[in-house]
Amino acid sequence: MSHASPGAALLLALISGLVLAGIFSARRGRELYIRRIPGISAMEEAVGRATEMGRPIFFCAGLYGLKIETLQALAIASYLVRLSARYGTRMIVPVYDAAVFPIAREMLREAYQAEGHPELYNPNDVSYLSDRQFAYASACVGLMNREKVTTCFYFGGYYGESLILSEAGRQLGAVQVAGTPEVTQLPFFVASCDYTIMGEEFYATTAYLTREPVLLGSLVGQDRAKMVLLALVLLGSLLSLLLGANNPFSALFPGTG
Amino acid sequence: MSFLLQPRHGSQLALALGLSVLLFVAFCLALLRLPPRVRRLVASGSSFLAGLFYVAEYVIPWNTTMTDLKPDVANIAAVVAALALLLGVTNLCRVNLQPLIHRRPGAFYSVVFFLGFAATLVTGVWSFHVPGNRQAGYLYQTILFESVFRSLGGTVFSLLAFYLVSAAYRAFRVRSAEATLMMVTACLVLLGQASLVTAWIPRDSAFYFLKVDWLQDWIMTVWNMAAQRAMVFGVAVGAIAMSLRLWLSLERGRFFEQEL
Repeated sequence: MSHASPGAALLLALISGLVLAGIFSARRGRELYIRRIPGISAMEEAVGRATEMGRPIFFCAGLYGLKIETLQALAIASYLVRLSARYGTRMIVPVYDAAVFPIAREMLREAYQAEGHPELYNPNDVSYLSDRQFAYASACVGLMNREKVTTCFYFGGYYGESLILSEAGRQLGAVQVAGTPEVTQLPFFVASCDYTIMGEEFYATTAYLTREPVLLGSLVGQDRAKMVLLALVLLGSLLSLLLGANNPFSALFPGTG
Repeated sequence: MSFLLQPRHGSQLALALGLSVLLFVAFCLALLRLPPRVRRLVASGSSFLAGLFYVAEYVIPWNTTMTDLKPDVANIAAVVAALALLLGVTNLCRVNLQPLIHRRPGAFYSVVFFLGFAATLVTGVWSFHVPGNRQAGYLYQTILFESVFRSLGGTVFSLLAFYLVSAAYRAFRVRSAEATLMMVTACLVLLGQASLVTAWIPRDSAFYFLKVDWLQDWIMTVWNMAAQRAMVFGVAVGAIAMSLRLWLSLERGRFFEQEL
């Protein structure tokens, strides 16, 4: 069984403290600014295009199962469902993991209800397809072709099927926006999608879209935590250069030298 | 506690399963009858306790009772996921039943689904309950899994080769300064994989830095790695922040706001 080293535990506490401080400061009403991210701004346009064309929107929440990446993807889906419900546009959410399925279904139902259009909710729009990677990918491609989707969103964690999904969408001529923290799949999305939300921007998406103080404050806390990490990287590099690999700083983080 | 967690067999297993299902249904019914505020408190409290268990187990630097209980807590999560699987399968059957009932186009594929589902379920349960049965094992493992499922998965995977070519063609088109830089870098990395072009440059030569495989290695381990690590730092901090918001129910409004 693995436990945190003293350095890792301290760092975890520091990052958590900075994020919480950001959240509480934003809750007290402090004005916060976030830079414009083109991919996120394009999401509303993409929903608008589907509305104009009268075709459904396709949203894929990734293949990570019930993990933090999928929950973030579902939070983004929740916003997009509200937006599409406002315009009366259907959103199809095929699910990879059975544990995610009831959460996605409730999320979709509540989003339609919150927008005052419970009649637009169709339980069949959230479907569990398969928990096998390529079976899921081929089922998604079939769904995209049958429904002739014009807008595709890919958020969450992906593996090798990312290119299969996004190239299928591209062949249909759909507007595609992707966002994943999975660094190895980013090049595929960049090559196939119109907009790609990269790495940490993925976690900033809900803050940018909803402008909720808790999320904005958390984002500011994250930026401060990254500055601390950068300072630690520089300090570690400097100490390694001056004192060698076995310095007191590296002893705090065993196994990283 | 250990009495509750020890494995059961035969009639004891059936009794334990029945009792667990009854308790689960009773808990769900009781939860539904609670006022929304109390329900929210139960959900927040249980997610906080579950998160606290994992955080405390990780942060405390030595093995504790929590370390011993970790696999059992993971089993509880697996049981909840198994219940969700039942929901998923029900949905899958319902979605595939509709084209059959309404005789919609594409009903044939639903027939294929039900045949595949029934065949896998029957042979799977058969081979699990009669482990020595060669016929069941052969049908399940060799015919359905290796011959059918794995081949179909491999076919879909092979599509990637074609998609990679078309995506690479689009990515390498020279349209801007950034695209040109990316194309040159990609060419160097590709040439580095087949290092024949500069294979003749000896290791002790002053022009060794021009060797393509050296350049490829330098691009991948210095520039590419630095960019990837920077991104991974951001992603990790983002994941910590999101986990913290969920753990402390600060992001309660995102999920089940109406329901709770």
